[in-house]
Amino acid sequence: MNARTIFLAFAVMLLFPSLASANPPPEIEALDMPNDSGHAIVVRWKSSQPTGNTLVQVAAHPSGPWYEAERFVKGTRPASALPEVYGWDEELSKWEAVVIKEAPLPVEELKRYRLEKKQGLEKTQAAIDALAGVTSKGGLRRLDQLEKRKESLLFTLEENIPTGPLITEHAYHVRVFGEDTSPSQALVASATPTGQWYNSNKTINLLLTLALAGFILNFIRIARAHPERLFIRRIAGLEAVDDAVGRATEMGRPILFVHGLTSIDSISTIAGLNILGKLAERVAEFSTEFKVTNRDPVVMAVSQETVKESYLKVGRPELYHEDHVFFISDNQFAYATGVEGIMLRERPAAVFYFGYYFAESMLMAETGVHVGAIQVAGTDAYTQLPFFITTCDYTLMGEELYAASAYLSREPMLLGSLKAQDMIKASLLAAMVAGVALSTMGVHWISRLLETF
Amino acid sequence: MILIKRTLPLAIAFICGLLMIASFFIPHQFSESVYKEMVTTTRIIYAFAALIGLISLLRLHWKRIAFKREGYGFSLLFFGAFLFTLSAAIYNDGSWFFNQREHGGGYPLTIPWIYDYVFLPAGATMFSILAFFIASASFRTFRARTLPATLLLLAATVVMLGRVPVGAYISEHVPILASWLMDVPNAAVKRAIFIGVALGVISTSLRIIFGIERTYLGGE
Repeated sequence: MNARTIFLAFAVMLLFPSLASANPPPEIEALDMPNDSGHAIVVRWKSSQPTGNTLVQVAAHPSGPWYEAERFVKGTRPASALPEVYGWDEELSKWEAVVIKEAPLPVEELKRYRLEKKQGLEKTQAAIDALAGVTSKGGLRRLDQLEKRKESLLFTLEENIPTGPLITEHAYHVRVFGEDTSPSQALVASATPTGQWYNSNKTINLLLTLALAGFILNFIRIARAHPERLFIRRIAGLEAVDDAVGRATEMGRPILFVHGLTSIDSISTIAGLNILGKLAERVAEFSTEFKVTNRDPVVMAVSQETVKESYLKVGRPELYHEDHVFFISDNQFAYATGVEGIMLRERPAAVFYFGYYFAESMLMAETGVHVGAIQVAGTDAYTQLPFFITTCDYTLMGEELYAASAYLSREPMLLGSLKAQDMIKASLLAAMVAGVALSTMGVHWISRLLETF
Repeated sequence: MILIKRTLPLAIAFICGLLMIASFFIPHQFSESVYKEMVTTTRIIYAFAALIGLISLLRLHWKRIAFKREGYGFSLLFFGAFLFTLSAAIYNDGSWFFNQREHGGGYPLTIPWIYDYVFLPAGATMFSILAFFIASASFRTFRARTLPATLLLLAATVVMLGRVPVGAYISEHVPILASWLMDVPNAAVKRAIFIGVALGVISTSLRIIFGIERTYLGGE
């Protein structure tokens, strides 16, 4: 090779730097995402380029056609960001990884999908034609909505490649783009997603649940044998229940129980129902008028049954009226307005709020203050706690809501479960102190053990 | 009777509770499909339950009107609004309720109009009242009578000032102190409440699944 050839080669490299290609990843692997339902694949490769972009493509066959799955700036997807897959290995800093959850639709499904979109486009166009020449505000707004829908459908048909969940074997390749280089040659790997029957990342949750269940059963045994051994600290809000009921009886005014906004599938609602049952017994004993407002029809039905049984239990079934446990509205502010209206018209002597609340808590509780009611609230909605604390006479915070049923009934079985809860809390406190101390010393295994994914 | 009122509900609660716990630990498609089926079942039950709520509401207001109880005029208003909305939904701007109508031929559709111009503004009005209620509650609470109330007053003042430009104008330390109050003491208390709530939820759930907590069944 003479000097002229070397000079020409050097000049070409300087003038056309893009001809030089980026370094391909030296190693690539695709594996089934562990601990999932079988709809994801993790693609991992060794870093090869200091800067630039990375493109991950997916195809039903290694021969293609290839579709873009992910495109991102190099260094933004380190494998160390996926500890649920790879743990906390120090070597992970050399790897990059992405989780692929979707792949282009198979040919038949794609045809069906496009046909549906095409029909949708025709319908939308017909609706636009029907509105031709409208000048009213509502008509123009509708026309605008239809135009946007048409635009979206056109984009879907012309540019968008529809994807679906990843369920079969696919091939993946990774291409690296340097800042001034052409894409690297792609390395291919393939994998099939499969679902697992146990999520090993949740082992610590399982152990804690089993421990709590064990503690509950053990303390129930102790509570049955030696009820005097169980000490439960005084909860002022629940001690005040009798006073509130007595006050309402003396004043001849009703007692109002306001359910929270969540449905029967919320544990705080069930905790509220448990308290409602105990409260209804006291109210029935005092023969005071009792009203229960509901935002959810199912909660209303269960509340009616709970209150009815409570009245029956204390031998006052004749005092129960089904209409005293009623539905107001499932809309947040309509519900709050209804409750406020009842307060202002009927001026209850005592108001109880137990459950999960949102912004309406303040509206209702402040109205309760204005009508001079003694108010007791219990919620696990921490954002609403300050509002209840400022407006109510007594507030049960967080877990006290769940302890209320056991506290009011004093049944050994329920008290035993409360004690078990305290034991787990003490264990967690010890784990937290140990975790803080060890983490401060640079030992991270305990904090990683309790990590949830 | 005991079988229907107690044993059967407890058995259903036990089985469904265990299935839900299992679905948390089993990520397989089968577990996912069981979970989805249960959620769908809940939705179907709720569709029927909405009718129960409606009947309760109608009966309550009807009795108010029938016995001319205090404020029965509001009940008349309720019936008027209910019948108007129901009629509009059935008539569906001429298409009747069994047909989908996408446009009003140049006019806004009645049901979206009710939603946009009656329902939403009414809700927004109620929400806006919240500001006045917060002001009155704050005025009552933030009286520095005791040490905790004084601390609350100081903390609230710092946080409020730290979140508006005037706070930084007074001193550059005010926003920093406000952020510290929110990120350290407030976050610590929040987490403590969360831990307690989480344990309470687990404990209550286990009590229900094991049939220890039965008050929701009517105190049996």
